[in-house]
Amino acid sequence: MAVNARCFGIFAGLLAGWLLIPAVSGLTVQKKWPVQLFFVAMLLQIIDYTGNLLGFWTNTNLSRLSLGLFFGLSIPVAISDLFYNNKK
Amino acid sequence: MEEVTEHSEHHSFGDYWPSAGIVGAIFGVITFAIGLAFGYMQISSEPTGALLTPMTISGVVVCLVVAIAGAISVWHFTSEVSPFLKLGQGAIIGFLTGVAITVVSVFLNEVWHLVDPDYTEKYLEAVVANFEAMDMPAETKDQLIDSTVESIRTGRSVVQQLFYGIPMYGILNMISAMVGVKIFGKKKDQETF
Repeated sequence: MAVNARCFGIFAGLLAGWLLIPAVSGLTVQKKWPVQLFFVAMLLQIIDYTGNLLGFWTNTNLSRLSLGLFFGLSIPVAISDLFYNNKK
Repeated sequence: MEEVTEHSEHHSFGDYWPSAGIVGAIFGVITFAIGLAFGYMQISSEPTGALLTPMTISGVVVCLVVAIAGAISVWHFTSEVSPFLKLGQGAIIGFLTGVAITVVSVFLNEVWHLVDPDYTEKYLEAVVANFEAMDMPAETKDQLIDSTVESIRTGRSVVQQLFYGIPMYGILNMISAMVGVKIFGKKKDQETF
């Protein structure tokens, strides 16, 4: 199935994010910033799409890919905490 | 006490369905209503040849709206059944929500074709008229029209809608439900007495 630049970025980001979970666990476990990052990434998608729709700017394939990648990456990072036992 | 805690962690499908079913049904109706509203906007719009049409916008809007259903299902589950939820359990709730959304919206789509039997044809005519107004080579235009008409016609069957809708909405909501577990769920070691 063909996907556009934004969706390709999201899927690639999701894959990269899953693979990065063990590497970034030290930075993400029991921290609030991953969820905040997820909301920022989601908000950026909405702003970018709406701005383009309303004619404020014209987004490019590169901007769609970059923002999609950022959003895709933010999802596994946001939930990475759940893969670890927080008991000390 | 230990037994109660252990029991509360093992939920069956029956525990998931109320949250997934209620939220799925609500979002199924919302999805159907948004799709229908954009569909009639497309039908009543003038063919300008613009790339951004109600048809293209509706896909994005529906996708955005549907994507939050999984997280809301998890919120419902944590507030009504148990706040202690594992990532996998959240994923199941999300997937079931996607299934419920698809089934409800497909059912409502079928009902709507009894209410307005010419809807698909009118919609197709509007989409083709907009493509005709586009400034592009005739050959490319014909290919675009043929592929779009074919995808809308074949995508009309119930089996096709379920075949594509369940995995798409299921996976989308599975991801959002996992984020929902992170936001709304509690881990057992976060339990306080």
